[in-house]
Amino acid sequence: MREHPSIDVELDPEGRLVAIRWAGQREPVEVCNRWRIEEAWWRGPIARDYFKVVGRRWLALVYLDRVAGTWHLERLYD
Amino acid sequence: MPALTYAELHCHSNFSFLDGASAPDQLVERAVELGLSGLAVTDRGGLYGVVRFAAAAREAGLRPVLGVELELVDAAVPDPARVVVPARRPVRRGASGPADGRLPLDARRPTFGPRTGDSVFTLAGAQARPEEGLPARPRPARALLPGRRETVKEDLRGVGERQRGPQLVLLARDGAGYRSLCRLLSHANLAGTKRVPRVTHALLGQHTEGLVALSGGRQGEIARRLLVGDRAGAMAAAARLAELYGTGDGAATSGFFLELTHHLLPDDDWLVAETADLACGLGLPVVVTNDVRYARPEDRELYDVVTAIAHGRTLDGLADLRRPDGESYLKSVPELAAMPPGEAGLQVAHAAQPALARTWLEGIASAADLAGTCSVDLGFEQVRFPGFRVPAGETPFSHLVELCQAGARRRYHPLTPAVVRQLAHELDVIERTGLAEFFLICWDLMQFAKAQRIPAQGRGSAAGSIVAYVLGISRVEPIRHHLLFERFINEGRTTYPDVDIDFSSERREEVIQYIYRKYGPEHTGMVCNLVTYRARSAVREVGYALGFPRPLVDRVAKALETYDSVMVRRDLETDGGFAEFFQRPGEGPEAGAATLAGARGLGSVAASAALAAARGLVDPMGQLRHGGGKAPVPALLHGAGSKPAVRAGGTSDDEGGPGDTPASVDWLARQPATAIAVDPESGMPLSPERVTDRQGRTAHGDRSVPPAQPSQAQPRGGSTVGMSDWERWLEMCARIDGFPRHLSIHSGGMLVTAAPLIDIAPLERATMPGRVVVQFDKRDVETLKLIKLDLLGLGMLAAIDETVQLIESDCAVCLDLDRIPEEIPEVFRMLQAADTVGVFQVESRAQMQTLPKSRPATLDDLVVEVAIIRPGPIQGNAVHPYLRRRQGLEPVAYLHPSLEPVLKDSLGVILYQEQVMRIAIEVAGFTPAESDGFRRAMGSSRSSREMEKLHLKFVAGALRQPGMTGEMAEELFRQVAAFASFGFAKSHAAAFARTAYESSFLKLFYPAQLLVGLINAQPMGFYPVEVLVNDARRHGVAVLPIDVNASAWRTTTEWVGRPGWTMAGAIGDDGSHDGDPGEPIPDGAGITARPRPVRSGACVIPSAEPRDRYAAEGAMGWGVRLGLCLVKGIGEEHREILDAELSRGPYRTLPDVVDRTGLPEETLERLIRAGALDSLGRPRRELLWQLREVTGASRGRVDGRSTGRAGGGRRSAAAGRPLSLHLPATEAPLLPDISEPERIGDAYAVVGLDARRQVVALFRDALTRLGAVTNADLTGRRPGPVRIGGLVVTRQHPMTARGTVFLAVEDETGMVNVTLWPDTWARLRGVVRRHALLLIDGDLQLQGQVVNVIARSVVPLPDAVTAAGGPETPPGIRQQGYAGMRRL
Repeated sequence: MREHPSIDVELDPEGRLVAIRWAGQREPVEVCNRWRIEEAWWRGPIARDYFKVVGRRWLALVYLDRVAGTWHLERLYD
Repeated sequence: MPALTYAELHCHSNFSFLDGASAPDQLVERAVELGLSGLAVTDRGGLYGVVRFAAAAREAGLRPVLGVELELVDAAVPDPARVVVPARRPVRRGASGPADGRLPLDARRPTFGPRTGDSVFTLAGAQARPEEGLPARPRPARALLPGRRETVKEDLRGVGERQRGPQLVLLARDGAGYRSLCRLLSHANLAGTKRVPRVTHALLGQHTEGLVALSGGRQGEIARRLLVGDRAGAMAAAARLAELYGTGDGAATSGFFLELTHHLLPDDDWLVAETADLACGLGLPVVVTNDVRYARPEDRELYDVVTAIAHGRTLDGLADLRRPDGESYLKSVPELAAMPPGEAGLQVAHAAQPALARTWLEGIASAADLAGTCSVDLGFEQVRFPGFRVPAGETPFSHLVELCQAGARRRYHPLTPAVVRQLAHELDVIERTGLAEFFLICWDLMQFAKAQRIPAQGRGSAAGSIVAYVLGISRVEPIRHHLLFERFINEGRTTYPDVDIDFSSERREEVIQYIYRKYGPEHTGMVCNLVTYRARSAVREVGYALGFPRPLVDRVAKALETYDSVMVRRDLETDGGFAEFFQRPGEGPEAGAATLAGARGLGSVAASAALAAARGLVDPMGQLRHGGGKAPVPALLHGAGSKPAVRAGGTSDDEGGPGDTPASVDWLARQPATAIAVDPESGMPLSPERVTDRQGRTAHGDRSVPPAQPSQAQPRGGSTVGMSDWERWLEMCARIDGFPRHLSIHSGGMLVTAAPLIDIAPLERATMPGRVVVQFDKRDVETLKLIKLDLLGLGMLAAIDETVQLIESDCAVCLDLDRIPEEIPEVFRMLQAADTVGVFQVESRAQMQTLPKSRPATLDDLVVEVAIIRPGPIQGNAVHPYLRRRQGLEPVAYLHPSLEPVLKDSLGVILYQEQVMRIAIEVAGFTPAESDGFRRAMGSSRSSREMEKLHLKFVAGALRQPGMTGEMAEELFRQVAAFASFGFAKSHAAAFARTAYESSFLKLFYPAQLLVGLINAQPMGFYPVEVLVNDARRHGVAVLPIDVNASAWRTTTEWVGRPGWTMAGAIGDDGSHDGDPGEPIPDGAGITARPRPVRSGACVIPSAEPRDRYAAEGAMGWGVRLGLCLVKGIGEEHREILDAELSRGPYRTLPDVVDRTGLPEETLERLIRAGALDSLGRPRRELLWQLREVTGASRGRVDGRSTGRAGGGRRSAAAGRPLSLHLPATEAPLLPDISEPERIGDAYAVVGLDARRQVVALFRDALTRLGAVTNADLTGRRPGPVRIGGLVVTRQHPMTARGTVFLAVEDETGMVNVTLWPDTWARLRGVVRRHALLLIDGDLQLQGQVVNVIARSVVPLPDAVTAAGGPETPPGIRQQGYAGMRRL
């Protein structure tokens, strides 16, 4: 499986996700839903916090990889 | 706002049987750590864990809430679309996809699912109908056919939570609620199948008193309805349940609560909001629960493993059945409050309702409030006695006194003051402890057994009581044996006295039925037995779950010698075949260990990250503090996915075990042989590395002392992420250790209570049809202080009983075992010579090796013998001092003169628990009650503070003895503490020694009758039937072969006439006896000559004088006719017809046998091969030739099944002949006669023994040519190199001997012990595991009469004989010599 591209995020002082940056573009977003996945601890653990976010242009699914501490873009809804 | 408190109200322990990953005490411990105000354990479908949980919680000061999580089989309100109760279909094994080839479950088992489902016809219903597309068919009536077996177990593998019925949590608010739970579960269990109670809403409605219901989280009916958008249905269901359990105002009065559970799943925000909204709309209270399955976040891994085990899948194939989240752990108030619905987590638009946040926090608080209103007391002491009926005007105690007085007059002539004093003392204690009824119950039971002639005797600590003795409960006279009543009952004792009664194993069921009748089925139940994970089951199931290849898992499991799953690692590390798994590729062992330790130290990645977040009291979801992205140890994950390959080597066991690889052989060869020194005679370690721990207990080897390995020294727990697969496997095995896996019936624990049992414990079906067990095990029942009677089946009692009956019918002698003289020298001569095959308790290899040294000469010595050859004393090194003193090699010395009266029996060695107590009483000045507490404290690992207190008290008390010094007192304490951990109750040993003595007596004077008793009581004892038969034959007992015209189904005695040597008197000591053959052997006996007794040290034949005195005249004239049931394939179901046909008259021809017995063809073939049809007068090959033809002709079949006999109540196997043509069978061609080796080979293959000759006799000529000697001749030889040939009859690999293997090798003259040192075993294990007929070169060791051969080289005997030009071994014997065929 291809790696999900890394993204940068902006958080407000309370730690909420307010914007994402990807491919040189910044998109202020609002979170619609989020959930957590913890899986496959016996292979290579997957621990991710997913956020479904909506911005002006994008509806996107991003996640925080809690193992590596990095943010990724999993899916961009057109 | 006041500080929030929380109590978790929906939580599984591991008593949910593979649906929970933490033991109740782990949950309690964690709940206390988190500061919860209460905890409920709501196991799935049962109250299995409540006793332990309540005890643990009480000890920890936590409020326990008792409850259960039910799976309902119907919906609260109509559910036509089947969203609440999914149309579950059974999984057909091997089916390719879920859609095809499956039957609707309710067609097969009409009890599941709504029965009315068919009548509710809606569009949705039609769509959901699983039978769609199939032609309408009436329900099959097949289910009602006679002989149908009721479904006892249901296969729920592959059926996940979502496919099962909706859940509902019930909590008991008070005692009445607990009773309701018990009743509800009992009814549901009896209506359902094993482990799947059938709970309907109708049943719920019948038992609501004192119960509080919670809606059941995500899998509850309400949540399920909400999730599919059926809001109206959800409201109706909630209203219905609220109506059922009552509404109220607040936690104290409401009976129904909606559960709010948030596991960070995508729709949890929504579901919580909807549920809260619903509650608000209906005015129902809510509680927050976390639907807990394990105590700590990292336990999630074990939970996934047990889920995989439950479904028989691997972790990788479990995606649809596993919980996707890792949130089902116990959470604290801050953690919960910070969950998204709470204020701290407010972020997402649609959840951002202040009202929801308020409801969530209220739910947390009301969980604590609700827990605060629940209080159940599990004290059933008031209702424990079932009420024993005593004569009018009597109390139980006065009745007991009367019975004791009558009993004492019967037992004692004369009644000595000592007896009267002891009796008065015991009765006094019984009165004060209120246990009179208990004794009456036991007395009544023994009366019943006596009346029915069921052999029975009490054992264990009860045998120390004179009351038990005079009431006939035990057969051991306590005063003569210096037994201690306080070991049984004392006023300080908190647990219940334990009475174990052994019954003849064949007739125990009658006693059980009697108890059911006497106290009523509603007051009587069998205690369950909790089957927990042991080493082998853990390795297997965890291995499969982790996805290891089956051959590897099987191999590892087979290689285990330990039973303890925590010890799996140690065990496998010592097995060289797996050594490489303990190293990483390219790493030395140290480096591997270091990496591992590092990984553990840092802990897991995901789990510990979550935990760290939790500890920081932030919700990682609400406030993601990723900061600069501090990467937590991704480097450690390398190699985590590497799978060990299956080792090269054989694929089946016979190709060698896992250790049979060059690597392992090298490894074992490198082990210094001197590290393990084992006494060649006793098989006990000689120079143990004694380790004395803090409490002065001596441990031997490293079983009880954790070895200083990094892997073991690590604290258990933490995540397994970062471990190699192999390490993870071992770790999970250790973690799953002791987890309950399923229930079975306890071997004999019966619970009798005053209150109906159904109010005390839930009942459930056992696998045995018609049998009901309570959900509590032995330990729980003890904790609850209920009355439990242990009715155990003892094979030896059945054997002795049959022997006595045979003696009566054969010899017209009515033997009263209670009256046989206690000190017959001949009996002890036999015991001293270790001639003990078939003797109770002292027949094992280790016993045989010590008997010639300990030389028991009295019953008291025998008591010591029974108590001392046990793992405890062997490990504690108590055996050798005793044996040396016994042999006069070292003086009997006492630490202090005051010990002499206490330790005289055991020559100064502390051996019995009673001695420990007596030392405490007589030397250290404890009271009897205190001494029992002292014994138990020493025996279990109590806290060091308590130990220290007792230590000081003991030493202070001991110093009051004149002449006692401080050092002596300390040393005495050290010794007492060391031995208390494995001490044996003398009363128990005395009861067993009595039985051992009786069986010795019978073996000496009535060997034929005892042999019959022993064979018919199989399986029992240490040796297979073959050894018993060979041993009897060596003692001159004629064993007659199986013969359809003489053998009954069981083995019997048969008159063969007295042998010459019994009539001529004793056989000479030189082994000669005149050649007088004695009375002629009757025709048809099947043997031509009577076996001559073998003259060897281990074969004692009574001389004429004692025989005249103690045995009936003519007792030696009886032989043993082997029974037909020894032939494989002939079972209990053939007994009636075979015995009836035998009495009808002889069988004349093969068709006659075929017709009359109705046995299947393959069984008949075995009978022919066993020689059982030789009396038909035809050669065996001819019979075999004819067999197929004859069976084909006379066993017509109609429509593929036998036609059955008209009106046949009796299911005769002879039925099924449409017409008997009785055509003459085709003439057999001229076939060669069967040779003697072929005959023996067949006999061994079919029966496992030959009545005429031991198999090694066949090779005797060749063995003599090879220079081998007989086992009987070994005693006369000088120690040194020797060669023997024989058949391995037992192989032992005792943990106490640390790698040394012992073989019992038998030839036609006797048995000898062969020792393989660990290095020899490593070298030879391939041969020894594969072959049973061996030629052994070794060194003969002789110590007195103890013979031992230390093997140097071993080769298969048939190969050696062939090489020496001896007779070719026929296939039957080759196969028989193949160890894989034998259960070794």
